[in-house]
Amino acid sequence: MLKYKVGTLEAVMLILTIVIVHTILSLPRDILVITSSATILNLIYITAIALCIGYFIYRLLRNFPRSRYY
Amino acid sequence: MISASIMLRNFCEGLKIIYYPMTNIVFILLMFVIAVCIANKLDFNSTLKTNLLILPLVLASIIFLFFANIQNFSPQRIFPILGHGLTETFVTGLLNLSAFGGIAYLYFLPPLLKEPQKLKKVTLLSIGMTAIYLLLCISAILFMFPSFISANEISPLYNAARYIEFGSFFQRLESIFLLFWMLAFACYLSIVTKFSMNIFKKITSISTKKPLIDIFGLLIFAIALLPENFAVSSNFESSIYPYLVLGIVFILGISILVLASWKKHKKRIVNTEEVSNE
Repeated sequence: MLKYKVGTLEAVMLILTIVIVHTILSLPRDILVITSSATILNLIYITAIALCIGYFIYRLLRNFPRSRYY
Repeated sequence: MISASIMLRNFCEGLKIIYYPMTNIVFILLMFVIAVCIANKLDFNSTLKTNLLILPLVLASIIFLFFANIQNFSPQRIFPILGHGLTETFVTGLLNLSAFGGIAYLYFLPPLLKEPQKLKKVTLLSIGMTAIYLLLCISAILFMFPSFISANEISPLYNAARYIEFGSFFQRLESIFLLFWMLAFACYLSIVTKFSMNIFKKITSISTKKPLIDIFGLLIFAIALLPENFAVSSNFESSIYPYLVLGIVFILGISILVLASWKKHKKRIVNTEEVSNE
C-alpha cells in the first residue's frame, strides 16, 4: 500500500466515500429525526465546526512531516 | 470494520426488500464480500482509480436527483426555521458531526500522499464537498417529505429517486441510482478493508497481507450476519455509530495528536538546551 502514492483528488474522493455510503443508507433520516426543519441551519453550523476541527488536525499533523507512523 | 459490516448488512437488507424479496440475505452479502476479496487482491492504486471513476458518477446522480425533484419541493417545509428549538438544533444537533466521519482517514493520509504539502487543501476540500453533498441530499428529502414521517425506513434517497419522471417515457429511474450506489458501496468496503489490513499488518509485524484478504472478507461476512434482523442493524447505525465516530475519530484521535505534539515539542526544548549547554 505504501508503494503507491495517493493524489490530491484521489484523497478527497477517499474521504467522500464514507459520507456517500452513509447517506445512501439512513444518515438523512437520522439527521432529520434530531433537527427536523432546522437541519439546513444545523448542517451549516456543524460544517463550520468540522472545518475548524479539520484545520486543527492538519496543524497537528504538520508536526510529523516525514513520520511513517502508518 | 464492524461499522462497515453492519452498514453492509443494512444495505443488503434494503436490496432484499426492494429487489430480492425471495433471496436469502446470505447470497446478497456474499456478492459484495466476494467482490471485495477480489478487489483487495489487486493493488491499492486500482481501488483508488476505480473510486475516482465511480464517485463522481454518484455525486452527479445526487445533483441530478436534487434538480429533477425540484417540481415536488415544498419550500414551506423549512419552517419552523429552528425546528424543535435552539437546544435541539445547536446542542443535541452536535451529534450530527458524525456525518463527517470521513475525517478519520485524514489521520492515515499524510504518509500516503504524493504531495504532502497539499494536506491542507485535501482537508478543507473534502470537508467542503462533504457539506455540499449532505446539503443537497438532506434538502431534497426535507423539501419533499413531511418531517414527521421518516420518509423511508430503508433509504430516503431511494424513495426520493422514485419520484423522478420526465413525461411518460422516462420514469422509475431509481434502478440506475441503485446501480451507482452498489458500486460506491463496493468501493467503500474495499477501502475500509485495505486500511484495516494494513493497520493489522503494522500491529502484528507480519511481512505480507495476502493471507489476510480472505480472512478479513470472512470477518466482514460473519459480522454482517450477526444482527438478527434489519431493526437491530438499523439501530446500531442510528444509535451507536454516531457516538463511535465522535468518541474515536474526534475525541480520541485529536487527543493522541495533541499529546504526541506536546511530547515532540518537549523533546525539542530538551535537545535545544543540551546543544546550548555543550
